[in-house]
Amino acid sequence: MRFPILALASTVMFLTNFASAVQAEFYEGKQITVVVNYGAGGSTDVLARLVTKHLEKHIPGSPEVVVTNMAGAGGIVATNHMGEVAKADGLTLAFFGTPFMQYALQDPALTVDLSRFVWLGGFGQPTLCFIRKDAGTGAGVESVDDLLEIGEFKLGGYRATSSTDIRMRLGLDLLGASYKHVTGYRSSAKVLAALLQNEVSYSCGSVTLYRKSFEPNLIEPGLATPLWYYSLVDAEGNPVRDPRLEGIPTFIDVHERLKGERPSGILFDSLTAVNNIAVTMLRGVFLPEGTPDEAVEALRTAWSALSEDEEFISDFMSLADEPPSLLSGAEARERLDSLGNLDPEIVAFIKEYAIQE
Amino acid sequence: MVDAALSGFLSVIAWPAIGYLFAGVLAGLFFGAVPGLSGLVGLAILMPFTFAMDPVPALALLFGMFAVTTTSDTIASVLLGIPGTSASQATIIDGYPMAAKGEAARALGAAFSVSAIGGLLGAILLGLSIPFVKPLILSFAQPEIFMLALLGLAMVGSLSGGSVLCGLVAALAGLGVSYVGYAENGALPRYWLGAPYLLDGLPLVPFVLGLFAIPELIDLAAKDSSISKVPRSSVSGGLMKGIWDAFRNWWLVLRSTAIGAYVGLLPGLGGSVVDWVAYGHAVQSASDKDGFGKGDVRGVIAPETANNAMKGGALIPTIAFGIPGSPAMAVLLGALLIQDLTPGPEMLGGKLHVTFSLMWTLAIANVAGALLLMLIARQLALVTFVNGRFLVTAITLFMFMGAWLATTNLGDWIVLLVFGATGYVMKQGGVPRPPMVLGFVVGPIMENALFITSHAYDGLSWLGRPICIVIGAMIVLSLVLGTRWRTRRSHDSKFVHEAQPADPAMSLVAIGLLLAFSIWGLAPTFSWATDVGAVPMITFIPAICLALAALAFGVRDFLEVRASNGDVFPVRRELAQVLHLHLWWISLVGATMLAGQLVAFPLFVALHVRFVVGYAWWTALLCAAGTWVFLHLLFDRALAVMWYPSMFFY
Repeated sequence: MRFPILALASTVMFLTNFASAVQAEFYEGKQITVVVNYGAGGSTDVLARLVTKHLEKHIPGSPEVVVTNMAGAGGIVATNHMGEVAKADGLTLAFFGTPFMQYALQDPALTVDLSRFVWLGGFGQPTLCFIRKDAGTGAGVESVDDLLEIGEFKLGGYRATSSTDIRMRLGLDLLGASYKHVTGYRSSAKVLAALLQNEVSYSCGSVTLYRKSFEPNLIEPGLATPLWYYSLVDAEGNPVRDPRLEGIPTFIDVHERLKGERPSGILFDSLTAVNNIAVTMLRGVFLPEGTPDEAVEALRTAWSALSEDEEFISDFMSLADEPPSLLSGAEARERLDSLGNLDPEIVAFIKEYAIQE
Repeated sequence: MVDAALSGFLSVIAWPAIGYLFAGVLAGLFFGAVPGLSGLVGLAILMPFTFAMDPVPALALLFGMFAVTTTSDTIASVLLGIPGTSASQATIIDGYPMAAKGEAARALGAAFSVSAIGGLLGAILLGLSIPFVKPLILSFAQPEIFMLALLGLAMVGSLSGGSVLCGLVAALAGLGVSYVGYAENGALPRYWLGAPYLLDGLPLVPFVLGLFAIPELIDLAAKDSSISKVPRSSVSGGLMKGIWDAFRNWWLVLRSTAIGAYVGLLPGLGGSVVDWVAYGHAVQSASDKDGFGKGDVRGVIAPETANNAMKGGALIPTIAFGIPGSPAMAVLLGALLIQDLTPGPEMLGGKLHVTFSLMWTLAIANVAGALLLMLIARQLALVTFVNGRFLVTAITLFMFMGAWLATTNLGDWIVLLVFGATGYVMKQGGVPRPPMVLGFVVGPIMENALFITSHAYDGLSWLGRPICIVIGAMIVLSLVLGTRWRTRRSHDSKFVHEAQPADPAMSLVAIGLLLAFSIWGLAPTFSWATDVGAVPMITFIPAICLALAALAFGVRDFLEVRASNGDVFPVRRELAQVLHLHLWWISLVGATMLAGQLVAFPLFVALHVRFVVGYAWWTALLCAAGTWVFLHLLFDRALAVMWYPSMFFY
């Protein structure tokens, strides 16, 4: 009996080896350049270098993978480069902070169509909001229930047209809170400093930022309290709760509690549209249009192997304090299409809303 | 606290941490020495290697690397007049003239000594300040940052080397250049000429390389001598004299250390201006100022002390509050997170020993890096006695690659050449360039801080904040001192210029250029929204007024020189050289567009060495081969630079 099992095992091994050998032909002895559309050392860059290090192990043919930065115009320069200059030879891979707001708002500087790229996948992150306990002019905030009673407080944002600023404001406007929009901080670190200095008292950030920066410096010392997070919404309009954020309500929960009903209307539709993509596709990984199928196949294999890679997950955990939520290529495409096919009324509304005071 | 300091020290000197620390030092010396590379690039490259390492060795490697880039960046600043990293821009003002006087070894000796002392004392000073840094950092909000940046700008008086009026025009023009690209707020891009390259503003490195390196390179080619204008035999002292200079000026070293450490501490302003502030302070506090700009060793000592002392300062807000003051600190923050060290109050509490181990790493690396460079300083200084034409070949290579690293876009080279021409005209016309760089650096900081301040505070109430009042007083004092020095000197010179005598005709061209730029900049601001247009408007209106006044003085000087039968346009003698050199450079750009840098640079080197330097063919080809190996190993393999996608090669 032993012999057939051994034979079977070696046949299986032979077949798997053979299969990978066929795929290996493409990347054998080649070098892949991973382009990052922000400067060295930014959060996109750090994540790109971490992912690249692990992705490299899983690409059949063991190519050499190097990371290079092409910053500019909020990530647009490199995005245009991927569409117009980069060759579709499988040797250039984009790891981008997806410029989806510019895409949704049809920024004239963005000259390429994001949906034409070959998408490998993406990374998502829920966004959390929090407030200083001494915010406003009144008695301060102990929990989210006090939010509408405290008088005017200051919101610390990045840029009027950023997806974070827009969502921060939409949430407060839906609830009818009284706030002043202070924007222009160039990084989350600057927002943290402003919160510590009591220059502003409310802001939102991705869950990684929250865990690694805002929570230890603001929440744990008792200076601030979390309010809600912006969740995905399912087909019935129910919030999709994130098990990693147990104990913190979703925005929809808060709205129901404070206003007695589910949020609706153009403000909420806009919030959902922007949030859906921000939460799931903060960072996207793609290839130029027309990349050979063998290359795409090899990279897809590697990409899906990442979600099983213990080493990668543990490195990611120490950076983000939570396991990665990896998006497949098909899911990434779906998100983009939903953004590309946005109701023109919503696009027009967001455009207008972003610049009004 | 003593326990934490001790256990931090022990963990750093234990094997293998100390080995990684020295490996980091070697890497850092390299990243600092090559213009265009910097600690930031080094960190981004080394960081993936540390993912799998233990915390102490990993951080020893990264911090050892990071500590010494501002030690070795002096080499290019002094020897070639090119800033090795942006932290040693101010070193050029006196460092390069010292090299021209044959005193390169002395300048390096002084710079390396004070880098070590500044780095060491800066780390100690901050170690001692840990208990009270929190209130200090938290009291510097946006209004204070705006006032500090304004104070930096008020240093213009000391940086103008004589002509305050021209200095102010240059500073305002520098601010103006910084407004290119997306406005600090509002979705409107300004002055972008329809080029997406300009949407994010001009990159610093090509701008500074153009302004400083190109004029020096033209000078080198035109004078046709080595960088040192005196033969090697007539120079005495050298390295030891420089080391002695460092100790002789101990009081300046201490003050520069404090400036570096505490300016570095303030997030938002950080290291970008620390060398300028220290240099300005050295000039303001000196009793005899006439030597500055002509090779005064104190002009090297102050910025080189401060830029190493700054490293420890920048570290504190990063680890204590998770507020990185610079991009490099943001990478280090990422490295800390990967090692599962969460920046926050705990780093000054339960994990104080880790904080101390980082401080010790900085201190040890600073001393080790400086000692290593001391060993080779004499050999390095020999560069200044090498055939100038050959240096033109080599510096062209470094300068273009340094600029290319900024965004790996052809725009980097256009910026380099455009501001090269601007810098040349300014230098020959006696319009000081340092204020322009300073304006460019503080421009975005000021506009951003002012914008946030105006929205976060009611009216001008922020001006009454205590620290704002103190800084306001320092600004006034700084301006008064600057002007008094000027009036005291003005009797011995009508129109005092930058280091060398000005060319009256070029002076008019330079001021006219800045005037035209200011008018061009002002024109569109009237139709822009307040958030976008107000700041450029209040920059360009005074710029135009001051430029008109400077132009009037320039015309007066021009006529006086002509009336006394002097030469009003001495520069014409070297214009043929200038054109010749530009022809080479433009050909280099053209060749790159056709065949990429890996072909264009070796070709340039071969032809330039053969026909301009005049060496034999085999030498020229050897140099070309060396260039290819250098480009391939360093930029292609080690840095994975994105080359220009040329027509024929990719």
